[in-house]
Amino acid sequence: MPALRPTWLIGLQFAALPLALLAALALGSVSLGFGDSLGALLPAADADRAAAIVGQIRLPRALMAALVGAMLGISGAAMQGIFRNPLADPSLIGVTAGASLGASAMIALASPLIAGALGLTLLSAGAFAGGMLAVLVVYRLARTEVGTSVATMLLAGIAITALAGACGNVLELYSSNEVLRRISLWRMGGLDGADYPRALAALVITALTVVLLPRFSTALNAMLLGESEARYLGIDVERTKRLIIVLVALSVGCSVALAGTIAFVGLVVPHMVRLLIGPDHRYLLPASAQAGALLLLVADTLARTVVAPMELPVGVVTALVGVPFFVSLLRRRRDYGMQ
Amino acid sequence: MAALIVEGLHAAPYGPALLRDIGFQLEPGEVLGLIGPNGAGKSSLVHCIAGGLPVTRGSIRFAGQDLAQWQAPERARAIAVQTQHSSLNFPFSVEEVILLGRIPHASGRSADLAVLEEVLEATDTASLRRRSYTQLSGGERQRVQLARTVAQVWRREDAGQRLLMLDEPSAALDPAHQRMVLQVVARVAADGCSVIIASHDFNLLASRVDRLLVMREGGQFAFGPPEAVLTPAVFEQVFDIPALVLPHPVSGRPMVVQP
Repeated sequence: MPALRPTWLIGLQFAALPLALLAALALGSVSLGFGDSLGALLPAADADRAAAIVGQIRLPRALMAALVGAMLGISGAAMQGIFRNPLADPSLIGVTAGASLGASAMIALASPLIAGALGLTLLSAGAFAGGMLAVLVVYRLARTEVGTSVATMLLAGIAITALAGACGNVLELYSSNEVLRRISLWRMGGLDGADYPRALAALVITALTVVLLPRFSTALNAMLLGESEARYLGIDVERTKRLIIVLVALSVGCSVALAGTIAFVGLVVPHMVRLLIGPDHRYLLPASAQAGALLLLVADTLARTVVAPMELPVGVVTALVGVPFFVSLLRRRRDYGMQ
Repeated sequence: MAALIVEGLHAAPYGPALLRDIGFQLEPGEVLGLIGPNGAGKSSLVHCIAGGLPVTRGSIRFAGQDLAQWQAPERARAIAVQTQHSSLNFPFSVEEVILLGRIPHASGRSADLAVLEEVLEATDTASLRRRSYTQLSGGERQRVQLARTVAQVWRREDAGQRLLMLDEPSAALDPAHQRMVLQVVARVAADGCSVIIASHDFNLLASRVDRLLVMREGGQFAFGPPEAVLTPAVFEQVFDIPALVLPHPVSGRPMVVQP
């Protein structure tokens, strides 16, 4: 039985989100205190230093961290549902590898242009296009006249991931040291490119995902029994798979385009939530979105503060923060019983 | 009027025919047993009637209407299927698994919980209700899947005409629970729901079913009441085993003994 009532976890996380957001605004290489950072958000605030730091730098970055985390968390939960496999990860359908290749190609081929805001936009566009292209190929490969086979999709995803990786390596072979370093930094993931237009893009896609994915909760619950069982419960399995793949590809493509590849969130956040409240998607999906947002907010705040004025890649921190928590949950609940 | 009318049914979804010229009728509340060697088409027939395999030729009429015309949600309210293998490996509790059977119905939480209680009791799963499905033994899982399936067609008001199909529901069960399966079947049948059971346990089937359909290589070898269908000649030709058929000492129904 779940360790926690689902509604309690959702309520708890709902209360924790504004606190984490406030902490993200207050903490950084220049510590501001909670009062000042709150004050800086008010319209009456003077154009002083605190307002500039919070308004121009920390707020868009914190918003983007929360939004990207939410997209990764809910996408991971949905993917594990349609693959009926707790080891599934949003990157399985090739989206992350495709986006990485798209971004690498942009960095390598258009490196003179990659500077400032325009460069970042080009990079994001390249990553998004690469991710979408990879998912399209994977989906076409898995599609037969009978339907879409998730097993084939998984294998096609692995194949496309390997292919994109190989192409990326070829690109790197012919790249200068400068380009190489930028590619590898981008791969580690980071939110330092955050600004309001990007946060807005993330907000639109997150809103779409968080509103639409939970409509498939019951279908996903039924599909855990097996696809034909779900069909005999009246679920339109093909439509469910198709729309979930589209939504996951959109949101993961968007998150990779904006923040690079942030490992671990999509795979482990749904697990943590499932360990706490059980596998019912009606609660799992929204709670995973919240938990992903919280984890990435906290991780990014740590990434900015621990070695300030330097910054750690946020992917490193998500792993360092998340793994001990996850391992302790696993040890406390040996009856998790996944096979 | 018959609940289910199958006529000249052919199904060849992957090229070779899985079903060839199947035809039979099932009345409301009647129980049909499906027997035949491995690969004879029992599961294919179940999936075809449930709408999971496309019909190549012929027709399946249910409650007076061609099943091809039924929408999936409407069909799910009337027809429930327990398949041989379920791939569920997420830690739902037993109660949650059984309630998945109520997905097609908009009967409301309290009605669903009432069904849950009755089904838990009927399938002897009440003691498992809070356990995680992934921790159960093979036989316990099979009982829970049976409970989920019967929950789907449990109430008379769920659909005008109901059909329950069980594909080897007692393969992993101990003798007491094999009897339980047939008691559950008898109970829903007495309530007007038609039932189709595929099984290799001839004696258990012969003791309870109204009709038997013997299948061989995708075709229909024999169809009729157990007394007419269970003969040494059928066993010789279909199962390739010698068999004696004797009247059961108590019930008088046919009983198959291997010499």
